[in-house]
Amino acid sequence: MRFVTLAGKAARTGLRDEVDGGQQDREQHGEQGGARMTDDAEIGRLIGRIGLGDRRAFAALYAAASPRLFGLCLRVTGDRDAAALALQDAFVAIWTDAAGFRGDGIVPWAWLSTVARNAAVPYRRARRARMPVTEDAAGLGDLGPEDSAADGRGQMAAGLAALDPERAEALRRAYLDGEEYDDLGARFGVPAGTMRHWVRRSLLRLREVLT
Amino acid sequence: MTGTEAFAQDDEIVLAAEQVLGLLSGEAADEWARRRSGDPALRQEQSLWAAAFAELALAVPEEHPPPGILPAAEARLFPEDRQSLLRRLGVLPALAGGFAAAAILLAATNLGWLAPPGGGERSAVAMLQSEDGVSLPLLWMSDPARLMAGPLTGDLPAGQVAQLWLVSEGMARPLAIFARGDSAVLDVEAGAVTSGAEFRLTAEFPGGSSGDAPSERVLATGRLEVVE
Repeated sequence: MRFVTLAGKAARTGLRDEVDGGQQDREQHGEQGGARMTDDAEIGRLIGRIGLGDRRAFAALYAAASPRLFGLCLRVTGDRDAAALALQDAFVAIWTDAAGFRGDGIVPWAWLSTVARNAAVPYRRARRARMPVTEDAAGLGDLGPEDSAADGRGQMAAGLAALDPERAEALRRAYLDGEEYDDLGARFGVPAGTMRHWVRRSLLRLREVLT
Repeated sequence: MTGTEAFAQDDEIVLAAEQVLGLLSGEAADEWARRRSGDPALRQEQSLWAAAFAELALAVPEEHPPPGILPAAEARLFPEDRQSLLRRLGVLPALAGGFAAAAILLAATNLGWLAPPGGGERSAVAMLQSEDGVSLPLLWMSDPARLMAGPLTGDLPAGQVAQLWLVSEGMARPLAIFARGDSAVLDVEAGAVTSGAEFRLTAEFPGGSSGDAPSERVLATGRLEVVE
């Protein structure tokens, strides 16, 4: 059977749905983690109601989640107008896809963040298509080595910290800036194929750390 | 586990992560989606990566969004009850005065609704929707004045694009050309909102209208309505 350790990994990283999250998660995350779980539970209920067509829940979710998701869209797009459009796209997708949320097996905030990030990336890529990757990053709160401090405090932060700094930065840029292999290769001065090899090896190492 | 099985598992781990990072494209993404749909373990693997990378997203500082985004999303999702939505939002009557084709930028301080007590940005929305399902949401914001249009959804006539026009006093001003999925941020002045000028979406051949006027192939029309 493949991925036989996944359940264990999910438990250790606190990534299970809140309905499965128990004392182990609360102990690991401490008081702040407990608060997050409460938030996740409420957000999860709202998404569930949206999946049933509840428009009041949709408005309530917008009120609860839009600041965090707009911050993410702004971080990804680097432009307030584009971020506003991306947030609009994200909430359209949330309404459309909410019914399948449970089937994705992902915690609520992570699901929302993924939807918003995926909505924002096309706007960033459209911007980058109009200028070289190095110019695109200029003036956008560009990631630098110090941004590793903004990774959070979870398993991903620990995993990235264990990687070569350049390769960790490449993964951050792929996720938060939507950079593709060609972009990353240009940024780090290596062919796209070499960058792909770097990233794939880094992902496997990261997966070991997440285990 | 044999070496071949381990290699295959590593490949699936990496593919799941690449999909989350948006590093798969074209055939590779399609093939992964096909495999994932029929394999719970692959779906679980991708969910694991999505949740793990979401840690980076959740570490980004919050930022309050501008107004008007939820109404614009609802206008796209529920066009059938657009009228009731606008009533619920509270639509202010258009202010008097014509819109000059020369694009006069009205000072916000001269427009009562643009300077509400305590300041703050104002917005207006419209949904251009054709009977054939082509739609283009519009969100106008006051500070600075700009019009966010899109994304355009629905199937355009074969081999054609959609062109957005601002029509006032018999004059049509081209604003932007859209293919399916396109969005744009445009400079549209306050006067365009307050005068009740019409936005028109027409089907055009690639490159847009060859002249200064829109074609007769009108897909949809609409006017911005102020969101209170």
